[in-house]
Amino acid sequence: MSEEYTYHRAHGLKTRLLTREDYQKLLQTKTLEEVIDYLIKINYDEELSKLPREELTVPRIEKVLMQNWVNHVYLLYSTATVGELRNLIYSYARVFEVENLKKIILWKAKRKPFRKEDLQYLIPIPRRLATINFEALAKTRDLKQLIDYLELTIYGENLKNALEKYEETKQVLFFEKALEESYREVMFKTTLRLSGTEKELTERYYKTRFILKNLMVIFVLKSAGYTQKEIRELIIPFRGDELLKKVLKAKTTQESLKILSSAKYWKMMETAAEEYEKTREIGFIEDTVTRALENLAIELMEKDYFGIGFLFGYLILKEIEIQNLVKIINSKARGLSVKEKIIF
Amino acid sequence: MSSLTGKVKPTKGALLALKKRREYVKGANELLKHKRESLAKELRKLVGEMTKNREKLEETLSKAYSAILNAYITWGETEIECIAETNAGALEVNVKPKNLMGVFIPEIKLVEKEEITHPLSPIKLKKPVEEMSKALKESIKVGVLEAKIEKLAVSLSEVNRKVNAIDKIIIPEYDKAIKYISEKLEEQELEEFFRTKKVKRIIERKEAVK
Repeated sequence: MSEEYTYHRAHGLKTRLLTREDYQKLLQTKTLEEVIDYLIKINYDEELSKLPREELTVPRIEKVLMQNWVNHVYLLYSTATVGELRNLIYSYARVFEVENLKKIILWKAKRKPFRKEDLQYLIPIPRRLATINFEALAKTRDLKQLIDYLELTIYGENLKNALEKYEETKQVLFFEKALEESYREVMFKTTLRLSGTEKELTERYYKTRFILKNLMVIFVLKSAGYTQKEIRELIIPFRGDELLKKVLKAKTTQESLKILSSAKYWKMMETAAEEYEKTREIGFIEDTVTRALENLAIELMEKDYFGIGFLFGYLILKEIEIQNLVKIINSKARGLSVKEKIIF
Repeated sequence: MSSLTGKVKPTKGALLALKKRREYVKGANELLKHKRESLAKELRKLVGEMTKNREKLEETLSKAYSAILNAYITWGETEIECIAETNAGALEVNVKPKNLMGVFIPEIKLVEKEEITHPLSPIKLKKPVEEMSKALKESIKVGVLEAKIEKLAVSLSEVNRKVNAIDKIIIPEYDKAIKYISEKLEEQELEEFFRTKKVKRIIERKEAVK
């Protein structure tokens, strides 16, 4: 097996992503049952048909979807025998760990005991892709013990600093920032071993991701009345991004909107920010971030059709597919329409 | 004959005592009527306030539910339930009863809790948490108003019953008893007068025979 084989698998998996027609059919369904039937008919038969119908509740289906996403990443990881690519997919998979850690830390910060049954809230990560034993982590006495337990992992240093700040402010966002920062560092270190187009596209992938995340946090914190200094402490550190610097410096949301509208790539953020101003629903900004990521995926795939660009493009699109399906099953279970929230 | 009439002795002393008691009851009745007016006024005010607050609560609840539903749709049930589970869930309220014309009505104040009001814990749920927090405050307000209205209504009906009883039973009974004693006393006086006249006439007749 070689690097090419992994890219070949990514092409194969890409054909299994839901098509526009699939989304239209899913949106036309009226009940959760119909959504499940359709998903069984297409790509999710393996996971869903194994379970008895009465067990297919919304959280269970969400778990199945997450499992499907993780399995696809694991599949790509296991086919990659070449060191750099294998490392890269391994680093990418930290995203699952970060999400799980955010949850456990939030529980510990709120002094809630994390019981065995609460493990259902975590993304199931295959052992070969995980660096942390979440079951053991959940059993830790408190936040301090949890962070001590993680001391030698990639998250240790950043979480330790976050704990000091958390103790002063009680702001859980410091932990989210520490985890995202650790993820960014891992991606950065892995990228250092790459060269040429591979390096350029990988950098483009994770930098865009973090810029979008920061932008979202800046908007929300600014509208909540946080100062520039406070916001800077709560976002993932960035260097050289002039646009983010300007947005951060802007005194009002209107001013930041103007800055965003002048930038070509971020044009789409303008509408979302306006909607956010009106409704204070962070979902608008998150949807736009997803749209921007979708654009990035298409761009990466076009630039490097037989290489790493395609792989990242596929991973982004898979993530968006899972998000879309979560939206669809939740809206159908509650008898609501979700059309405008689906990105395809 | 009413019960009070049957119980009293038709004497001048009893008449004076009854008259005094009737005046006292009338005075108390005036006070009760004043209390009834105040309670009714307060009740009308509270009902008006409640109508407004109920409308506001419905609006806030609808916004809160829409924000929560949106959050469920955007991030999924697992994510939202997981965050919700971390909430300590202990709400604190301060209850201080207020005295209104002798009626103790509850005054409830919600003690602000960091978990509910913090704008960023966590960032995703900012809007639903804010909206739900508002709805919670509004529902407590409506709850307090409902409790106040209930207490006042019960008290008002009690006062009303008392006023009615005094107006329609007690005072008429006193009136009857007073009238009865007065009539009795008048009869006694007349009897006395005739007796005196008769005795006087007998004495005069005896003197004339002599």
